[in-house]
Amino acid sequence: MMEVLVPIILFSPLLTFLVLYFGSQLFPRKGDWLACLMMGITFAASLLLPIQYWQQLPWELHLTWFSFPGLENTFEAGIHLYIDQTAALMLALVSGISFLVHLYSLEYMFEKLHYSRYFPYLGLFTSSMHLIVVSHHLLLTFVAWELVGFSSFLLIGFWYEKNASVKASRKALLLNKVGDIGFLIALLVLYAHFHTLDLTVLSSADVTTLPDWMMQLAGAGLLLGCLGKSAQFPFQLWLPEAMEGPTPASALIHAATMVAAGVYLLFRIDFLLSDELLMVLAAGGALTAFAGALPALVQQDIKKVLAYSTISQLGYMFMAVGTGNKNAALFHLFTHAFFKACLFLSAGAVIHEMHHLKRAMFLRGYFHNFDTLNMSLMGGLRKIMPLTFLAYLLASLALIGLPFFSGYLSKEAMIGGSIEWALHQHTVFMFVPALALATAGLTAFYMTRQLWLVFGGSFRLVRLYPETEKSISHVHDPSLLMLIPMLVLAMLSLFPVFSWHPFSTQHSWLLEVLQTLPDEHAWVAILVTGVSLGGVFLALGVRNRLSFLHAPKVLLEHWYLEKIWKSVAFVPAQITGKLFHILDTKAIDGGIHGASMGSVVLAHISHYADRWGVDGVVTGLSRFFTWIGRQMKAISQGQVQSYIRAIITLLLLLWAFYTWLW
Amino acid sequence: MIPFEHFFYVSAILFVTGMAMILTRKNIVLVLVGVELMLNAANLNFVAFNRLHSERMDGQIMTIFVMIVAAAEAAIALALLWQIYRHFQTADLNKVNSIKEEEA
Repeated sequence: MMEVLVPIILFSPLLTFLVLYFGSQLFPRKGDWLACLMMGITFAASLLLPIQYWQQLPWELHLTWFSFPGLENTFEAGIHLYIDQTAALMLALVSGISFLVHLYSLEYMFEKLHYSRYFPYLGLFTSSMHLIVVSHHLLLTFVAWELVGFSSFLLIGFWYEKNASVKASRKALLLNKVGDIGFLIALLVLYAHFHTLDLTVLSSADVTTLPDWMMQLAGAGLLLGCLGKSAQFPFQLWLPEAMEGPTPASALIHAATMVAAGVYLLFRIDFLLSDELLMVLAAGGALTAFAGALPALVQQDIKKVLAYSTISQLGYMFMAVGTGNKNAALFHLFTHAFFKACLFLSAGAVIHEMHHLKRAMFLRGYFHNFDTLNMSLMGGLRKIMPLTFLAYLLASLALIGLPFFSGYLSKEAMIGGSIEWALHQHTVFMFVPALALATAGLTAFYMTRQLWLVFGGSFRLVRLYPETEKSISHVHDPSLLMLIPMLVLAMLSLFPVFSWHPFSTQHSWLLEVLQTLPDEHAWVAILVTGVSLGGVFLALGVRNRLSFLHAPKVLLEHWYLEKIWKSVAFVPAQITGKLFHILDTKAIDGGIHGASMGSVVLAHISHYADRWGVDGVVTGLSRFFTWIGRQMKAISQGQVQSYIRAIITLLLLLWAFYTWLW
Repeated sequence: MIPFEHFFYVSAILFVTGMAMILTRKNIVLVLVGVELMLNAANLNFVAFNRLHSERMDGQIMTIFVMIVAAAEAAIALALLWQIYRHFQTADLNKVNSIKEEEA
């Protein structure tokens, strides 16, 4: 039965991609119902897997795609799938969120441009993500890794008519590629030493046999790959810009799943990371969490706040892996997936309604090209979109990490773990949990700010354009197709999903699965909750001055990361490219031109040699004979003196002959 | 005394000059002059050789024979020349040509 379920889970979305990419015109409504159906089947299969076969996991499949004898041993490109309980849960997570996003997109994307390409891309992405989850061979993971990067590229640049989308998708792809180079280097190093990329072999191999530098290089390379994929420092630049893509796609890939692939990979290969690298990871994660939260405080765009928030939360996960608490990281991955996807979908609902409002006003004759994403134009939406508000509120509280919500459990596990870790290190490393704690406060602040700006107060757009008042009825809760996924995800952000006890992770069944139960310290929980509540109340206190329209430049320019990357990476690359171009045109092409000119010169020379030399001989010979002939002719011309001349010549010749040759 | 070679040089020069006159002159009379010159050059050669072997007289006798023949031959040549002139109405050797009648 597993042999049936697993291909369904892996390949149905891919099948959707193939069918709909090439044949969407054949179906009514461009085949979106087909995509949802296939995704639903995939989700059902992925639910069936853990429910029915929980005890029989892990399940493995080992196929050899091809192999050829190498220098010392056989190189084998294998397909090695490994589904343990964690992987089964991940599959359910990915396909579940993907399914909800599919349903949501039926409504959200329907009236928009390029509808026929949308569901195929979602299918391609889902398939690739599933492949990352179940792959147990690093080469296969790499292939799937690149595929999700590619799907992300396709989806960010979905509306390619927009220049900003194209630039953003290119930026995302390039930054991911830099990370992938690290990944590839790590693969090469690992293969060079162990002659295999299979994780079962690698995890049981003795990593101490690896020379120190190789160990560091491999670990650093893999870490680099994860940093790039999950938009951590210094690669976090692409994630806020990726918000140019469709909102449901952002919900799926840039919140819940693709960016979590980095965390998942770390979860799988953490035995390859040296202690120094783990310290770097912890510090970097905490730093990213903090550096991601700060710009979120001053954004005007709904989706950008959530993007920065994602960077920040992923920083938490990376920090957790670095502090040796990878199970807490994975726990947070799960909870984060739910509430972040919910936030994105709800934000999408708000944007959707703002679009409706704009259109209604246009039809009434008032055209104001306001930015539908701008929070400073929103406000008071809790009254006209109550269910959206509810979903947003629940998810935000989960993100902030207040008790009774899932986010509380996972965040407390991570921060508690980091404090535990720092206590065993040099005192200076206390900055890691300190940053984590500060970030918790910042998270609370910016989420409360967002809630207030969007849902609280009064509708500022109406104050700006009074004629909007008449069209207000067009702004309401979205239809069921959009609403149900939002509410489902909001429900999943509540505590019962993960633990029967709202305050404690001791009873979390998920953590039991992940086989870790961190030590419980009550004071940690109180500290974290206190900081979060402090952030909330601070934000509410200054709620009338929350617009932050004049923010520090460094935050608006995202820590000038773009400029730094440009000068550090892109400009040298351009210069190198230009150098090679000069080399190519002057040296290589110059050589070829020179050779061709030389051969032309040679051709001319041989032409002249041919004309004057070879032909000359022939012509000269013929001219000579012609001359003789003419002389012979002269004899019979009737000129007396010619006769005499001929006789004299003959006599001379005879005399010469007899004198010298006889 | 004059070295012997000088006689031969002079006679060679005369001979060649005579040959050149024969081959290149337009006027028939001058061609005959050239012939005479060649004969006289040969005469000079004979006399010079006689000088070389001065105990014999062959050279000088030969010279007298040549002169006689030259005179006789000149008479006949002039008679022929007169006939040619009567026939062709010209003394131009280039025009004394009944084979090639086409113009150049």
